[in-house]
Amino acid sequence: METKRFVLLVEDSYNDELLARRAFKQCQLADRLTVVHDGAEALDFLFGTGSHAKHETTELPAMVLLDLKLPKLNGFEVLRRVRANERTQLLPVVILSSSDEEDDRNESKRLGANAYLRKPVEFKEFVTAVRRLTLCWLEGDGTLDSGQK
Amino acid sequence: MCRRNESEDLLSFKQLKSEGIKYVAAVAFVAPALLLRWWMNRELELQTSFVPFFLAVLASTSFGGWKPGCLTAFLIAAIADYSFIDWNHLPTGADLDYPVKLLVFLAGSACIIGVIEAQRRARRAAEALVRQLQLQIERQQQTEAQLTASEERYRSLFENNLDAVFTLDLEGFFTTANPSALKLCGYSLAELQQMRFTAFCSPEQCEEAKRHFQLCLRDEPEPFFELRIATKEGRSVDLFISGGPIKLKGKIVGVYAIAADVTERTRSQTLLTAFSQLGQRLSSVTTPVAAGRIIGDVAEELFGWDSFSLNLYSLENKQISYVLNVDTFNGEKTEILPFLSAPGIPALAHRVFRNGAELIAPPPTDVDEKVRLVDGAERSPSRMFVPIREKEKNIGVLSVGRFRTGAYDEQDLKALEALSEYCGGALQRIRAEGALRRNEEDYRALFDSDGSAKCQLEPVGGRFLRVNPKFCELTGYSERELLGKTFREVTHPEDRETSRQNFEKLLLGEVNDFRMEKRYERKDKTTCWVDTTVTLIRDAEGLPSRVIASSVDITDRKAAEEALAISNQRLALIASVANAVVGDEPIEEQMRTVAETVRAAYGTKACIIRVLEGEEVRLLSCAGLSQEVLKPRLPINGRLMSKILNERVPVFVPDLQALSAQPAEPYNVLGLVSYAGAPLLVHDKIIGVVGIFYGEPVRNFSATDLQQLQIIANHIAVAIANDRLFQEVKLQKAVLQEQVHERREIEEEVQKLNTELELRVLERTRELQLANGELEAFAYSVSHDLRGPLRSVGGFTEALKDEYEQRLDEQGTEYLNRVIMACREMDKLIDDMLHLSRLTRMDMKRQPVNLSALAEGILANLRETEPGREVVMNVTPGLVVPADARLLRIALENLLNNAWKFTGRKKLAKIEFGMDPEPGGPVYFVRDNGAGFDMEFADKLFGAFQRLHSTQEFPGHGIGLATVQRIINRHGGRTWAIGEVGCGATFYFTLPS
Repeated sequence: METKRFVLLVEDSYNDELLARRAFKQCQLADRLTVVHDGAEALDFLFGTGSHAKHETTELPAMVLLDLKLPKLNGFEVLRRVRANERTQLLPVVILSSSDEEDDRNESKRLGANAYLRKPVEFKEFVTAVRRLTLCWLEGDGTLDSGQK
Repeated sequence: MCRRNESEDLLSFKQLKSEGIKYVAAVAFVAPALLLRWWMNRELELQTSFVPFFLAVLASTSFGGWKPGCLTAFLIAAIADYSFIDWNHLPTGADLDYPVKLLVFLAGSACIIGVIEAQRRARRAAEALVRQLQLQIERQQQTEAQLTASEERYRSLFENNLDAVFTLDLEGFFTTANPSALKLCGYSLAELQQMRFTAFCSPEQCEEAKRHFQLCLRDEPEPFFELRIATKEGRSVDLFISGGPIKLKGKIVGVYAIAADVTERTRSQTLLTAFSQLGQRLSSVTTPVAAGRIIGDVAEELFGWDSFSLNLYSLENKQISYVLNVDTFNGEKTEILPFLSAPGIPALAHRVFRNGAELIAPPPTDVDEKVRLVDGAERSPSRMFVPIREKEKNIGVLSVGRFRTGAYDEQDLKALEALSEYCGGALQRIRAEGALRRNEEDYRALFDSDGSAKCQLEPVGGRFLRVNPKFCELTGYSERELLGKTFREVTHPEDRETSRQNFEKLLLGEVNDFRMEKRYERKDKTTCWVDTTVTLIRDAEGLPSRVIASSVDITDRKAAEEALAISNQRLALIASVANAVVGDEPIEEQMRTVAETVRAAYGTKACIIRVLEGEEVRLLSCAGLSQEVLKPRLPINGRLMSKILNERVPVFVPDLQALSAQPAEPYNVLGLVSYAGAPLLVHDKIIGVVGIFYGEPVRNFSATDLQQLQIIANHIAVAIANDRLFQEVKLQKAVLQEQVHERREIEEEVQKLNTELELRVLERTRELQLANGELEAFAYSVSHDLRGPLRSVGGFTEALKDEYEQRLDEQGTEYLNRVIMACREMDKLIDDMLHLSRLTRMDMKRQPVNLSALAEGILANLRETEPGREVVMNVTPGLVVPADARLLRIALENLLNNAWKFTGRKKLAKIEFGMDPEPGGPVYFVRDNGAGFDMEFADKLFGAFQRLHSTQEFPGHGIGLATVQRIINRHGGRTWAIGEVGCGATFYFTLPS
């Protein structure tokens, strides 16, 4: 593993970002987390446009953690565009939302999300989830072991 | 015999002659040889040459054979011996003695003769051989020519024969067939060669065909026989066949047959035979159905049908209707009764009736075309429809059908047309006879049974032709007596002239019928009045054929009429008054008319009608006088008035002047002398007075006249009373209408208010729905948005605890734990809230739900969670209700979970699920004997997050019953509970369907 693969977190809430960083840190993966703060920025990051125009786009994250409630473009819209783009259509996307609604889950599945994770209130649960996800896509082969929350 | 001898003699003579010539020639050859020798001897000095002699021998032998040769040689030898002698000049030239020379000559001659003879014989043999060969060749050529000719003859006979010619091998397979045969059967030669002759025969014909085949194989064929075969197209063909064995070198190798198509002949013969009896049979039947059966039989003979129908145009209902309809059910021909036949005649029959015959002949197919219908009948793919004609007019349709394809062809159609043509006349006759008979029966029934007296008459002379019993009864004569009489004889003498005139008009055609009231003179010379209608019946040519008179006895009526006439006369006046008292005009106008009538009727100077009003009588109307000259009001106590009013009887006053010195009216001025008056009485109550005044003294006013006047007065009284009533009613009506109008306005107001109210309710409902929706959306979004901060509180508290725990004392750590616990609690609460809001947003699908089964399942699960507990469960089985299964499960789960939870401290817990059949619909309940509740809080039970027990006592969030209520409300039902602390609780709900 010459170049370190990383995870892109799309999250507008600073508190949640901090908690996510902490969870990654606890998993010894603090340096693998890149955060963008809205949907538009996420797309710029992935497609190398706008503020990320100078950014080297050849390097895609190993996984995207995508919040649904986002300023500018919401999570569904980001997911739809990611799947529509040839380069990113196979990119693993995990929806990270505080909603546990059936509709949200179904819509995510329909748009091609790889997994759906409800943001747990319990921090320990979150750490466990992060560990499982990173094991799966950051180091593993993309097969998620059973029972993601 | 004699001749034969002659010819033999001639032959031998000819032989003899030719033989003789040879020998003469042999002698003759000697002479030239001697001459030549002599010439040679003299001219050439050739003494020795024997050459001429040898030449002579050679010639002679060549010409006549060895015998003449020898003769020549001998002659030469003899002659030369004498004449030339000089034998030394013999060819050798040597000096030989004469005998030797002679011998030499003879030997030489012999040699020549031998050689020539041998040569001759060889040549003759060769010639004979050549001749023989030539002869042979010739003969062969001749034979060949003969053979060719024969072959050609045969081939042409085979190929161009109009009859079918074919051969069969010993197995019965076809080997050859001529074009006619192929055309006849419809198969190609290649196909035919795969078939045996039996394939063409129907089962019954097959045995016959086999028999003939075997006869041929035994070389004893019958001269001919007839056979019916079926062609490839399914057409049946009658054949006239002669055949025999094919022999090759005396051995039978096959069978040939020549077949002539005699279908047409057979058919026409059958047709002729069938027709020959048809006419006779048809003439003996009287009903169309019987005729139909006969035609059906004939058609069966001719066409072999499976279905048959005869339809005739009915003159009664003007359409084609079934006469006979036969179909084959399960192989049996069955007549279908008209009312069981398929409704309506097929459109096809109608078409045929209008446009002419039709043949439905679908091409034959290999598959069995039979279509078996449910009732066992079959469809007929082959059908023929022909119209039945009578004198260029279609009177019906005949059809036959077959349950297989290709059963009929154009020829059959023609035959069927011929049959229907043949039957047309007979059917028409039968139908006409039937109609006639029916008419006659109908007429007879009508004639006899009608209530009126009827008779038929000769138009001229009026002799009775027929009378019905009623007529006999009316006239008093017997039927026999009447038939000898004329109409005139039974007519009353006074009516005879009128009757005669009417009859004259009738016969002249001025009228078609007439009606008169007349009298008959009965046998006992009494008279009876009748109302007679007389009608003339004309025949087809328009000539009068008979007259029908129909009479009703009106004797009683006549008597009544006479009585009436008298009373009519008497009451004419009253009637005219009564008629006058009808109308819409004001009562004054009406009464003026009445007064005029009365005045005219009695021929008086004036007529006055006054009405009682209080203590006076008011002038209502008057005739004959101007209203102005009369006093409008009179006191009732005047002498004239008081008598009428008090005694209530009509009065007659001959002299008004004598009545009083001071009369109420100035009668003398008005020129009124006599008076008659009557009270206007209604139900014995006086309402006024009618009076008539004569301008001259009248003495003879009788009691009857007074009575009549009273009757008139009564009518007038009634009219006035009626008018009053009418006026009152009119008033009442107006009042009523006013009331109705008011009422309607009120109703309209109410209606308007109602509509407004409904609108307001609708608006309010919509507002409420909107508010509810907003509330739901709010709850949803709050629940979600609350989570974010909560997550931060929880997350960072945990981070604090993780990283700074060492710096905190025990109290600090304890606080942190409490914060973390509170976060979890709140998370759960938010979950519940979301859950609750989701229930209201969820789509509902109503379908039958077995509540009993649901409850059983839930209780079984609960029992598994705490197997140690002793709980008596009682579920009423079979409670099924249309509802959303998912929601109902959640509701029941909550109720039963509660029951389970709140009975946790009971030693013997009881949980029951059941239904009470209430008048308003079934009420379901979950009952337990658990902790119960205080009824004071019963209305708070179902509120969200309401708890009646501490969490220590019974854990929970107080969301369960709120959930239940929401679910039941969504089904349009109601929830309530009854309980007592410590004694358990019952939770009720309804589910209106």
